[in-house]
Amino acid sequence: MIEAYKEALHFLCTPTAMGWMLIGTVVSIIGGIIPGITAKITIVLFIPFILLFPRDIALLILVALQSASVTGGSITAILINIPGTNINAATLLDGFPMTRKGEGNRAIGAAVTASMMGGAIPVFLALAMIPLLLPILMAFQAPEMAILVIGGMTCVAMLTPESTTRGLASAALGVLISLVGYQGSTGVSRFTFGSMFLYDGFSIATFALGLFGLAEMFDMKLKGEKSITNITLAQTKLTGLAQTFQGARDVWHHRWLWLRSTLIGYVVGLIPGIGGEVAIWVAYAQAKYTSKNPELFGTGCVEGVIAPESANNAKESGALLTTMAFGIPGSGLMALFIGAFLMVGVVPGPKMLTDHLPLALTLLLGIVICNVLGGIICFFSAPFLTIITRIHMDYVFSAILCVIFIAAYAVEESLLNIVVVVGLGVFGLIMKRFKFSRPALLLGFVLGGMTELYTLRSIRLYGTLFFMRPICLILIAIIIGAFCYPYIKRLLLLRTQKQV
Amino acid sequence: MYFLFLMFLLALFIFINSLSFPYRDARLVPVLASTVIMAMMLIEIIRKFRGQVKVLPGEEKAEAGNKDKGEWSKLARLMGWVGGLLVGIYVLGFMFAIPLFLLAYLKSQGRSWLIAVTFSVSITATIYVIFVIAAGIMFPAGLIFA
Amino acid sequence: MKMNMRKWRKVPALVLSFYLVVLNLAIAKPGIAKPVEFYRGKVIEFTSTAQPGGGIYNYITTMKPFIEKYTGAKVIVTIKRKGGGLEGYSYIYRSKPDGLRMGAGSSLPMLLNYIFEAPGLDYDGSKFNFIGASMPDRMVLMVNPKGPYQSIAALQHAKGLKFGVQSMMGNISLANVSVMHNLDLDALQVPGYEGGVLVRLAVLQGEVAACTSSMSEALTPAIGVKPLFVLGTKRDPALPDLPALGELVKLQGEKMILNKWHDQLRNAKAWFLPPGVDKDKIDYLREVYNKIIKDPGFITMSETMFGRSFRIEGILVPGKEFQKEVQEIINNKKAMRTAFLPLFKKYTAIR
Repeated sequence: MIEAYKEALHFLCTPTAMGWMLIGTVVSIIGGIIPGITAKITIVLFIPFILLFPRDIALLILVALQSASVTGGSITAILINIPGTNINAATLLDGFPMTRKGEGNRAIGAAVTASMMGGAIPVFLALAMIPLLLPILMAFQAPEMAILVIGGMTCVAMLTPESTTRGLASAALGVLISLVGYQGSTGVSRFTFGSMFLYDGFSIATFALGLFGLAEMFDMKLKGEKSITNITLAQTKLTGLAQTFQGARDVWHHRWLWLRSTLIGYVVGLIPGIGGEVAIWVAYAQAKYTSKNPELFGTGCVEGVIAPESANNAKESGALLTTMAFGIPGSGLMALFIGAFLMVGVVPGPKMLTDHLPLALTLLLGIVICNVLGGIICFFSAPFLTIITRIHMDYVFSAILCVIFIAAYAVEESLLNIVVVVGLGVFGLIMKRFKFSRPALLLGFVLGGMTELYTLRSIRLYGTLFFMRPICLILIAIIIGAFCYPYIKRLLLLRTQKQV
Repeated sequence: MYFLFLMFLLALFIFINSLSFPYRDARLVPVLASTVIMAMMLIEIIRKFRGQVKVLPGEEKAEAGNKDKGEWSKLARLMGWVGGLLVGIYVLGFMFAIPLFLLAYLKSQGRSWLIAVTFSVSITATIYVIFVIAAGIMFPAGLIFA
Repeated sequence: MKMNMRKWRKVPALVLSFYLVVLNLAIAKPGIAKPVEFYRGKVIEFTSTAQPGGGIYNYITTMKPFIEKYTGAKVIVTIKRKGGGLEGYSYIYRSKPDGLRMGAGSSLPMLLNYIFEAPGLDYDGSKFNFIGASMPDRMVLMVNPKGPYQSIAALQHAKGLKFGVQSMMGNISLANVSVMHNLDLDALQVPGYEGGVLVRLAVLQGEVAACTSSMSEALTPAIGVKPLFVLGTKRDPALPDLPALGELVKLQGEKMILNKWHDQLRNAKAWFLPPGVDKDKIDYLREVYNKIIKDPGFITMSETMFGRSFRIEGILVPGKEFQKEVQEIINNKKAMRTAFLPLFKKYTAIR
């Protein structure tokens, strides 16, 4: 084992390996920043060239291409309210409000630091967790997944403190929209009205582009805002890199939050079939529940940035481990990885960790290095990138409108999708005006389909009492506990105050 | 209030539509979700009629905005630009529509020709490099050039 | 009056010349070059019915340089993947039949959509022109190597078995219900899994007893499930040690027919053109395909891309042969609908 580590480190420290990791990381960041271009696209573009490289370098480049994309995606989410990747969606809630308050650099600093550490540090857990991995994988069947996803849905409650009825209605609408399309299990086309375009439903990217990105642009234009940030430089305490470092300090200050969120992301990443979308919302919810100032969430609270950003990077590390150790793709992206492994003659699975241990360690340690590289690049780029928030709205609006249109087309390769995004933009504007929760709608959309899938599957397999299983009951207890915790806390506080 | 009614009617439409799906497994979740929306909207409407609803921050302004013709005309102008870009993309293709839109929009906002042209060219070039050359996305040519 | 005989001698020559000119004009089709010249320098639009990174896209990626090599044309790949490929099949079906628009897709889902009239169906599967096919996979039953069902007898004795499947009426479902019906299993298939890998994971977890998969998946050692038999009456050259269902169990009557169909119901990565393309172009492209599959560079690239041997018999099927195979399946459309539609309803756990 020590020899394998030495071999891996020795290889990673060569100029060739470092050079390719740097290039891969930069491409990954750019892919993450630009909406419509995801890590999947960058990896698909690279795969035809994979055979031109030696095996280890080829796989290292793949790892680099995905490592920092989520970190890059957080920048777009924070600066222009468009998540660069699907699993940056929760960062919008507090990241963009921070930018509006003139704290964009701080938000980026916090996001990037949390991401970097969230992606890098769990890797060291990875090898220790391998003996536990198989029992976890075997234990998490459809009922457990259903309860996990339902637990994710209960996070709706914390997204709508102002009006529970409107929040629930928004979430339910999101669920309905997620059901548009062909239901494979029954062969029924729901709400497609005979259109092939709606056959596969809508994508999260389309939703995010319209409901958040475009809606926000419309709102700012209608209000006559001069720029994204409505606070002048003179009014901000810190600017530039100083503010970015403040964000990094915030992560240290909230290190237990970071740790909890990272663990949530990592464990969810290990379980195939559950997307990162669950991880980020659960992480956000637990951040709010455990915060001393939960009322600040949604208004530009740095904890609301740290939690989801730790979880989303940690999730990818977990997914890679499941992929390598069992040949089971932990995410859609990992399915591409499996194809790439096979192309270079490496069969993912238990034997990979015995026959190809140095390679497995190279890739895992490669994630660490790429996350760190990506973090550093984004960290020091932040002051330059936040300039966009002070540029006049005329330029920002017109350019971002074009980028949104292009991203909308790129996501589905259809001009009709641009119309959908515009429609969602208008709807998002109306929702914002009438105080319906767009995050709740997005959460309902993201988790609605999964909730139906796992719940119906559980009922088909085990009947209506499918949740009467040990792990399910434990999860239900945790969810109820987490739900009741703020109320219990308030009750205890009131009692203490009365006694005093 | 109109928005609440609209949401209620939308949910009702979905509810009725869902009942026609052939399998319980296909009906279950749409029926449940649309019922939730109808129930919540009904609660909100009843509260509003009774005057019980707490006015959420910004909502007064939103309601007022409905009656504010200025806001409507701003929205209409904005939609005009958005629609124009959309039509331009359909007719001319991305690579012609985008620079034309940027140029026209900036000029309409009172920017100088130099700035408008420079900005349009730079943004279009950046888009071309990133999306067409690097990402290999093939944009449709537009009706005229197809 | 002396006639000017020289003048009159010219008449037959003039008539003959006139006749030859008219004949040439009649038989010559202006602007139609031979296929080999037709394709040189042209742009071919090759549509993938699946998303990038998947098997079909990889198939196109492998074929593309060799199509360009042997035709002299440039190939541009477009993606139409909605509806599990329905959009793509429909797009290719409705494309201009100029020989420059073609596509690749999984042949069996394309045919089954047509046979079982899937929602959104917008093409006639019997009218595509197949140029060639690769990796025609038959279906295999997979079980947990450490589970209680290591034999057909064990499956037949069990009660309340569950098989995993993605959708109610795809090729996996077809294979599942065939196994359940032919072996008289007390079983239901549970739809709703998001992919073949997750179904196989469910088998390993013990959530379901078994599943059927394509041969390619049986050949991938990664996931750890064990193939029990291949559906059909004869063994498959890709896995010659795996017995066929027909060898293990004596089936009679309609069950025997159902099982025999599985010899033909192979899911291949197929290259096809829309209906209406000139026969000479189809023949030419089939020749090109035959050259490609003999090219050592193509064989090596395919083996690398797909991680299996491309030197075994039958892994690359010429177009004419594949067209016949498809036609035989289409000829059984009515019988298949009569046989399978009730089985889907009977053996699928949905209400």
